[in-house]
Amino acid sequence: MGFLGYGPWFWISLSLYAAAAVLALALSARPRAAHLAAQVLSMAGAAAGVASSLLFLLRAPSPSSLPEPPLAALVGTVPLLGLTVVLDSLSAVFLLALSVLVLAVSLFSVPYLAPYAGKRNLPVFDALAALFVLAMALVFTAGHLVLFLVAWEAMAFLSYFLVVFESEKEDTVAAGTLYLVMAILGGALLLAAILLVFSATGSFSMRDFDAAHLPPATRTAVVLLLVAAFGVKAGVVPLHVWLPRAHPAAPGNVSALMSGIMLKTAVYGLLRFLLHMMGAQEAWWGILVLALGLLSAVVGVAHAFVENDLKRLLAYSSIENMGLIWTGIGLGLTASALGSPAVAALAVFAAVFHAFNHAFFKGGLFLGAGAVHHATHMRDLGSLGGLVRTMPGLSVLFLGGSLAISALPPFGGFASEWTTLQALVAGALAGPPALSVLLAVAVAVLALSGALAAAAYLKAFGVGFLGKPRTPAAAHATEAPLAMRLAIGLLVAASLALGLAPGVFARLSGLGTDFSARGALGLQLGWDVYFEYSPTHEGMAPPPPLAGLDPLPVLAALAAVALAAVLAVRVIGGKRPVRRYSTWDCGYGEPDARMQFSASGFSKAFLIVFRFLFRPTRELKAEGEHVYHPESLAYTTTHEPLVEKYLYDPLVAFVHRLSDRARQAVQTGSLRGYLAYVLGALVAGLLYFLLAKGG
Amino acid sequence: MRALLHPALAALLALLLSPLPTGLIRKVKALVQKRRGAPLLQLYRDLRKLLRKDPVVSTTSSWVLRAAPAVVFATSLVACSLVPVTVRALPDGVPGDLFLFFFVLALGRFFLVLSGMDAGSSFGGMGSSREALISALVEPAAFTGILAIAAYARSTSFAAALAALNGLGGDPLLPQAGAPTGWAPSALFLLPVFLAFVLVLVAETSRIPVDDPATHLELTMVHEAMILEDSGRHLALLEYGAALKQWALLGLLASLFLPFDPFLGVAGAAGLALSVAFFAAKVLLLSLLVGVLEAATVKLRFFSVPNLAALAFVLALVGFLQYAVTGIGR
Repeated sequence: MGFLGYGPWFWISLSLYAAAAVLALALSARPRAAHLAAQVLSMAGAAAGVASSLLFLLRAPSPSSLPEPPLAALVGTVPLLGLTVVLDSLSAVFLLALSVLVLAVSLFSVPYLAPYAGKRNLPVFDALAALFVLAMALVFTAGHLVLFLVAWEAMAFLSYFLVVFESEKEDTVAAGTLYLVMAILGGALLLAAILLVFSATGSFSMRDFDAAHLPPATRTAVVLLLVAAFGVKAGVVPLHVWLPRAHPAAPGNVSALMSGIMLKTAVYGLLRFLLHMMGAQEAWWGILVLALGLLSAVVGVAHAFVENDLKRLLAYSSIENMGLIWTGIGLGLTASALGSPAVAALAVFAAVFHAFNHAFFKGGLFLGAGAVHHATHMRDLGSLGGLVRTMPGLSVLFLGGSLAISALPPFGGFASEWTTLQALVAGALAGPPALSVLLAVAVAVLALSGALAAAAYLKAFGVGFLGKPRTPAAAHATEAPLAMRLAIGLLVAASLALGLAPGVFARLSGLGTDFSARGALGLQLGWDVYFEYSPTHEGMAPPPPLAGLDPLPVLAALAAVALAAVLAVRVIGGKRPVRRYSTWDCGYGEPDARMQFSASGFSKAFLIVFRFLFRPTRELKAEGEHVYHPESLAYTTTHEPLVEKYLYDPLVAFVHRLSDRARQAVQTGSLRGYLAYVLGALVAGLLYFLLAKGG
Repeated sequence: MRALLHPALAALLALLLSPLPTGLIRKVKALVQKRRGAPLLQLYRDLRKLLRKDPVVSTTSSWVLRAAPAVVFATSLVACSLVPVTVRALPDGVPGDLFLFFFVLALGRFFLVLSGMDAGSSFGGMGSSREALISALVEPAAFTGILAIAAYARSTSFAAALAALNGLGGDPLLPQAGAPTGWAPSALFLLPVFLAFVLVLVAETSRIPVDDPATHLELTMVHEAMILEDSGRHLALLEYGAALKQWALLGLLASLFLPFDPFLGVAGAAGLALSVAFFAAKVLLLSLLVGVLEAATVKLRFFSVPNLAALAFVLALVGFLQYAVTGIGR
């Protein structure tokens, strides 16, 4: 099918992204035209990317065919450098998510960034954004470690420039700096891991990678470095500090790209390196990833719920979702190491499925927050309200995204959360007792974080979109432009489709879990390849047949019942006109906007219940002579970010102290001392040269 | 088509009988307090009355407030239809699994909480905020309880759970006539799980000690605060939906933890009718228990609810740990 194969389409896609960047710069004298051209070319590139990944995923005649070798489909080699670009099932799935998301984000960007044209250097921004997308596409398809690393670092640096778009705001610059520091740290860890691998194997090719050649100590070091490097990128607790600052500081379209797909490069990296290339050899790798995932899920969602800034809420919720994905990957790695490919396949499938879903609904939600900001210039939930009437179309879409991320049927988030739960149950039933207990805790953590995520989005939608507008800006908001609604609608529709037909994704991705049959766990597909490296232990039994999920009848039943109920009620009760009256407020007359439950109030009880995590403080200041009738009341409440306070602050203080002392010791101000340094350096250099040459 | 028969039967039964447990619970409470109490069928009358009243809708509210009752009703009824009423359903296939059951109920709750915030009232927001927290706190208990059942049934599906807990082993096929039913000896391990689910039921149905369905004191109410702005047919659907949700959760307990059916030997439609009636009797018996529980305890301080949720979670975890440690059913 198609007049071109996935290979040409892939190169067309990359060329179009590059063309978008070039054209934006070439037309920079006419910023509006440059902006439009860049976005249209990006959309075309994304469409080509969709075509390429779909053609690749659909290429097999039937899902029961033999699994492909993991890095079979060579798309191409860059001349001169020998840098291979490779598509396989794993790459293609992430490339598909990237392409669909970019399609929507580019469409969204057309009206979203238009107000900046002329005021800011929009063409450069558009060019950087297109290159950022190009870098991510290369991260997902690099077949060569050097290319992977270069794309990885390019992605980090380009996104930094996108984050500091509004560089006149101090907060934004500070957030960008923190992001850059953490990104450099992560890049350095990744570089160290790759160099260690190279020193042991002598090859940069991902295809020739053979973990068997790694000495155990090196392997341990590589695993720890990789988990830390990908942990920084994924925003896993305690390496998450940059995420809740950088994502909100960036413009809405960039936040959507960063949260929607850039975080997934860490998911891809973990799977590619630890599972595929290194073959998940030891159980503790997975346990480490699982533990980090569970911690991130709880801490992320807890902070999301108490957050009042809409975009920060979304950012913290990304940490939670990355936690869920890491939980699945961790179980997959452990089960693989313990010799239970069935559980491993289910867990890895669940993780990839959730990552795929999250790209769409979180992308949609961030775009939604961007549209709200576009209309009201506000992100604080405490200043919004009533948008369901002023922005009705956007509200419906945001509600859809909220349902999806709250793992509620019939959206994709539910299907992937359900799959993750099934994987955990399968692992708990099949695993050794110690693992079973850990996985039981994981089930509870998933339950808690799922319900708290729902609470967080109830707060986001309930406070931000329902009730009365709390500020004039919210009251006078106008509906988001059609292009924005279309873009968000595309992502929400994708999420809905994934929820209605999860089996389609399972077949498409070649990760084959049969959702409809009663106990079937089809594992004969491409992923078995990833487990052939793993030594078989007797640790895990084959999992029992689990439940099936066929969401369509459930949804049909829900819709039918709801419709029937509405009709029946009208038939039985007769024609009753709806009367409109002001909200009940104990007979005092109509309550005003300030009497509504506030954003902080909604999560206050949670803050108190989980006070060990937040250490909340509160202060009530009353002004005026009378205690009971003060002239004004001021209420402030704060909570502590524990990780920052007890991990990063001491660390930063320590580094400051150390560098102060080092400076005092080294930089004495004496000229003779400095001359001695020069001489010492020269001698050391010569000695090294001689010794290295001799060796 | 036969596969749809039992869900339809379960839904019909719930539609007809779900207001009854509420009446029964209220009656038990009244009798314990030496009152005569409202008639058993009071909720039926309330529903009829509400349907014939003009609904009043806040000027602040949106389509969310008007859509929520239908969603709550639909999710509750679909949840009811997922709970198998008799093991006779097994050969035709019992759809769904326990996680799905709770996720469907969560969808209804999502809209209920939103509708509480739609009118911009402080009461509604307060009730919504509390409901969101309480449901988050009991969710771990419910899911860990499902894991414990799955450990026993080797699956989270209703079919497997029903078969295993009815002493039919892991084989979700109806036994031949006269096969042993009732508790398998090892089912005693599930006692803590049962207790955990009772606590989940209490929290999910807004009953004492978590919430007081009888109060309209603003400071203490949770569920009632959320539906304060609803009236007429909207309120009718919400009340009906709440009764259905209660029926679904009671039915879950009856179906899984009280696996008795003396009429399994009776063949044909008469046998089916007797089995279904016996299921209804079990649900009503459980509602008596809830009534006694409600009469015998006092409402907890809101900030003590986490302790109750923790207790439920520990009970469910103990239920699973017995499996992990002793390897029952392995």
